[in-house]
Amino acid sequence: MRSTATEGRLIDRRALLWGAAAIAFGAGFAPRLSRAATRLLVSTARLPDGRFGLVAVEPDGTVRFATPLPGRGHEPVVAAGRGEVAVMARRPGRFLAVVDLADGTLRHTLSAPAGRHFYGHAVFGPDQRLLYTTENDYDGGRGVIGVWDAAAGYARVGELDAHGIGPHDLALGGDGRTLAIANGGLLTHPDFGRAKLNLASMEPCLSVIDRRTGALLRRLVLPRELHQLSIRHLSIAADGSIGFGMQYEGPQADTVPLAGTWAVDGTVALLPLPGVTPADTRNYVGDVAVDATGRYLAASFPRGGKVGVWDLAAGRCLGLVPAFDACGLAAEPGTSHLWISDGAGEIGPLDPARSLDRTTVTPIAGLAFDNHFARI
Amino acid sequence: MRLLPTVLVLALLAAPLAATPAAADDPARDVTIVARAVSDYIRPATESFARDTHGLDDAVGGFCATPGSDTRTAVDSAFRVAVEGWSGIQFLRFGPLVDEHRLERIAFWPDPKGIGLRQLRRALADRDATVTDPGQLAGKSVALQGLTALEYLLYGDGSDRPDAFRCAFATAAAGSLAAVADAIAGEWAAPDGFAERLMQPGSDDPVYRKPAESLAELHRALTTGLQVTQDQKLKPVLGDTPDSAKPFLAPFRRAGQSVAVLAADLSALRAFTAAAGFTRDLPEEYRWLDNSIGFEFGNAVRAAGSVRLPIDEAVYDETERGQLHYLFVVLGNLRTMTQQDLATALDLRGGFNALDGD
Repeated sequence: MRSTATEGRLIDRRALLWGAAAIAFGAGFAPRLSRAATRLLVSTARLPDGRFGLVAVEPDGTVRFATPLPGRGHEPVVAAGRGEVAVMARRPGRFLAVVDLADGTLRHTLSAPAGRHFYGHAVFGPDQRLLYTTENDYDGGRGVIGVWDAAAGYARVGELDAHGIGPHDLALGGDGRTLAIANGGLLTHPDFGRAKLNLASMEPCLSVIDRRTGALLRRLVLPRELHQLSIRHLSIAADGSIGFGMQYEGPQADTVPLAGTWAVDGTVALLPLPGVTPADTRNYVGDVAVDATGRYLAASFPRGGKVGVWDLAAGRCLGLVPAFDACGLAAEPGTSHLWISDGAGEIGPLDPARSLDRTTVTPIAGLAFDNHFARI
Repeated sequence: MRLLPTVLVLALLAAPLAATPAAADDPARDVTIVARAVSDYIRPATESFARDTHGLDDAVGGFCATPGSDTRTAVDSAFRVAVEGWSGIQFLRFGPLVDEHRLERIAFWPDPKGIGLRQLRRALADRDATVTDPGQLAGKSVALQGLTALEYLLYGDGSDRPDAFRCAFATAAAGSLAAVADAIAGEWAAPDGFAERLMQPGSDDPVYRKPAESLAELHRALTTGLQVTQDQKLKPVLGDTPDSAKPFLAPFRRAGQSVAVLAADLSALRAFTAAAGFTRDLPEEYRWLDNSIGFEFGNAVRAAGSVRLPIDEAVYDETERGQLHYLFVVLGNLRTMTQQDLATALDLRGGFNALDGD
């Protein structure tokens, strides 16, 4: 853990030096796309001066850039081939910012169309040309998926039905054709900010649609007694099964499942949490990730200050990792490593195949990683 | 142009957020605050609301038995008292108030899509007999129960000449409301119930393992209460300008109680804060909060109390709009002080991601 004050200052200075170098590059040369292709962690954050922004750090903690955003962002989605990252506003925000991966320059700032606001998540199609964003058609009271053409300066080119209320996270299927959508089931309206308007009647679901036609291919609704489990985040495993994380809107002393998997053959597994009480999890999952091997699933409990890790093959919980205010999770390509970011500004991996010990770096003192990050 | 963002990087790295040291954890103080909040505010307020709802139940029964201006006046008065009593507890959104969907069953609000209104109109048009039986009504849509349903039945279209069916519906809704209010008060009063879990946290409790977690619940109730009043009951109603004002979104507007709700919310939050004594025994460097929070609550209560016109007119009247706008600003100050300074003073700083999540 590199969290002592001395090391914090050292890292600060390195970041500052890098900033100075970037000015020199920026003044005279085009951004080097090769830089964009190196390993990088891109996260929404609260910057040390209190503004909300997007930060890109290298795995050793070196800061590539920190760009202020028009408001609080939620999920960054990377199009490495285009050398850029699209950042969605946090719900019920309306901005979509596109940032240059090489130097943090803001390439585009767009707005949700009239009558829509973003929910905060997005995903690129397989060729990174079309961007799909979860949105609220708030007067219609239904969830939609906005379609944007990155090659045409992010022109709005279409809209699909999310087949549920409150679509939040979404992911591209391994076939490149399907989109899996976590419909949280919560009705909201920008007139009343983030207030949940249908807690008594909510019906969350997972829907899988054809991204070209919008056709609903399959849909998962949990049993009626679990209808207050808002399905909010998902991660698709190598075998095509969908790992999902939930947030419980019912009485807080209830013990409920908080994560699960939905296999291609339709099998649903709600993951066990033996010996874990609502005080540990606050019945709230902030993010979920399946590792690149498809064997392990992690779900973060930011309110409980823990991250749960499961061995999916064995169907058992490996334990809870203490991690204060940890939320963002991402799988490292080609390994079983799962990366965790937190509100104290720490980021780093653990390898569930070996242990639940977490390694972290703290790139900038005073930085707080926001809910989600992307790892390339 | 490419220079700009990197210059910003330098600026923000050079200006780290000033870090205030957190106060020390003090379990004894936490236990004391929680005990005061429960015995000096929550228990009396939930009992008082239960009495208010029985008063409303009686008044509706009297009016339906003998329609007339006297009995109608009694209904109006009892309805106002119940709405204000609801303001007294609606911010306690945990435990007994949220079990069994009680919050929504008492007030199905906000309802920007008018779902409740549609259901009420349909039940009235269809003469759905199940809504006239309190037992059956309790199992129906939350929008057909409680104060928001009663408001439409008593103040909505057709309420000037209520027929037997409408009266039976209102009587059932009032009875069902009183039963829900009784359940809330009963659970808070029970010597071995929810209050005990909150006041005597322990490692065997599923939610409250230590005093700081109980205190955090009450602190969250306060900050959520301020947020609901500012963001839901005032902000959309006021709009940025008179042109964007939406007074029709105000709570209990049909009954003409929207301004009374704002005033009652603020009085209740002030009384809760004072009874709990959140700011009573703070370390030296945070003592200023006691005065400052009290001062701003005073300003807020005065501002809400100074609005004389009904909300539909107040948002378009220059002076009254000014008062409402001032109330909005004061609420923002109160939120900042309670969410940041008071939380730090009480050693309750939650994480960045843990708060108000997605």
